[in-house]
Amino acid sequence: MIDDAAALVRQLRNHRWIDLSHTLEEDIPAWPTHARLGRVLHESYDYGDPALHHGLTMSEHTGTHMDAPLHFIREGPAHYGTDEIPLNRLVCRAATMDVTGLGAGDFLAMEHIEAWEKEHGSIAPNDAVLVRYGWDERWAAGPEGRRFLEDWPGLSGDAAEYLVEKGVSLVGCDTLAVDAAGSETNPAHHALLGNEVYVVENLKNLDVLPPFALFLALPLKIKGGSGSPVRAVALVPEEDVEV
Amino acid sequence: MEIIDITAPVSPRSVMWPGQDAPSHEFTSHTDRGDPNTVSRWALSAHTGTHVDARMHFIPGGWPMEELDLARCVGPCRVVDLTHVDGHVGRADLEAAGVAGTARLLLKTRNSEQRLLERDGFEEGYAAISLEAAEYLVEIGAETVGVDYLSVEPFEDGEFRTHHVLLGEDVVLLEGLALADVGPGEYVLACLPIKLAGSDGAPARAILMRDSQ
Repeated sequence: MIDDAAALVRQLRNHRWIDLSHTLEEDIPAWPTHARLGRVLHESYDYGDPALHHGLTMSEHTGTHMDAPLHFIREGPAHYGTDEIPLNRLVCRAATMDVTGLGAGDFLAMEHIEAWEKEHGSIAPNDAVLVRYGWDERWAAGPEGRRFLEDWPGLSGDAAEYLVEKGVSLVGCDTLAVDAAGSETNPAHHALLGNEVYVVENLKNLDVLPPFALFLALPLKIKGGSGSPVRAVALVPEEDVEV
Repeated sequence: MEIIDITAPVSPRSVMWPGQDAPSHEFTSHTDRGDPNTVSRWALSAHTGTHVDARMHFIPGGWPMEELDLARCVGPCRVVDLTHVDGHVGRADLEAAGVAGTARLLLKTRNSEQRLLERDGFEEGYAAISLEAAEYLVEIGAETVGVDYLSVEPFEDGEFRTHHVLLGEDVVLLEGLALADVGPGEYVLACLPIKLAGSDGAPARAILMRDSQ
């Protein structure tokens, strides 16, 4: 799909970028034990300084973010951080599946993926797979965002294994985690990250994407990071955009 | 397709503007301590390493990071060889390089040859964009300009005139690009900053793409 840079430039002319990332604000939903995003003023022209400049504190898993393998993988060849994720795995074709019919406590099963492939075409090695549960509609800053943190559905262990066998580059979702709420064993995290399939969580706007689209998600180059907030974008033909 | 990373790492060793603290982090959980996973909390400046300046960084009322037009940061670009320039990049240097007509320009200077971004301490003598060169970039309609050290501004300009000229005319500024191992020429740039609300800047991951050679 993007084998050469010239083809990419041609696509840029009649496509547009869809931002799949939530805006990072204070009080956005966060994993209960994770640090929340905070800001502190370093300098400001309002106080006579030459520029405006803030410092930030945040978890590596703030907002729309990528999990690096070492987030769950303690040792072995997959024990590495954000800065070592190969970038050619993060510029890829994305298959986006709509499973908004799944609700609290449900799992996306291998059969869902096979049915999707029958309808839209096979998932190929190095594709990203983006799963839309419709959970981004619950995203909100402040107490209202609590609904986002309740009972989200997730990927079953079988489905994760199936995607690993397919050789996909990463799995993305519009929920807080690729494993369902309340999972204690995190089978999807272990299956994916253990096989160097990266994970992107808290995506938004997946409803705008066609079944296949060019996708980019670039994490900050955090030395040994367990993850990083990412700006995730997809390139969509002008006529496909319904916004 | 070849992908070249032009990002300076975020780490406690990141070189910073004088007076700014380097990033620091603390493990809030760790698999080595028996926790189910590993997570860090980071404290860092919005202008750490490879980053994008929002217009509001110097222009009161200017756009904050979440309003950045991503098309400015993704698309064809040119890496311009200015490594021969001794002082700061001047108007004549840009004219000689023939940069007019290119929307996204990444300026590779002696900073890259000296690998200043990889050094531990801040170097005051870095090459930046002189005021007249900034005015020229605005004249030729440059939309995005990237530099290979922490600032587009000559260190000695206490009035930050280069920033005011470029941000004043809504040029998007990419700072701290690691261009040491990149040759001059045409590429496709993707510089994706994190989407910080109301922020004067944001760290970014930046890559160049081109056909495999």
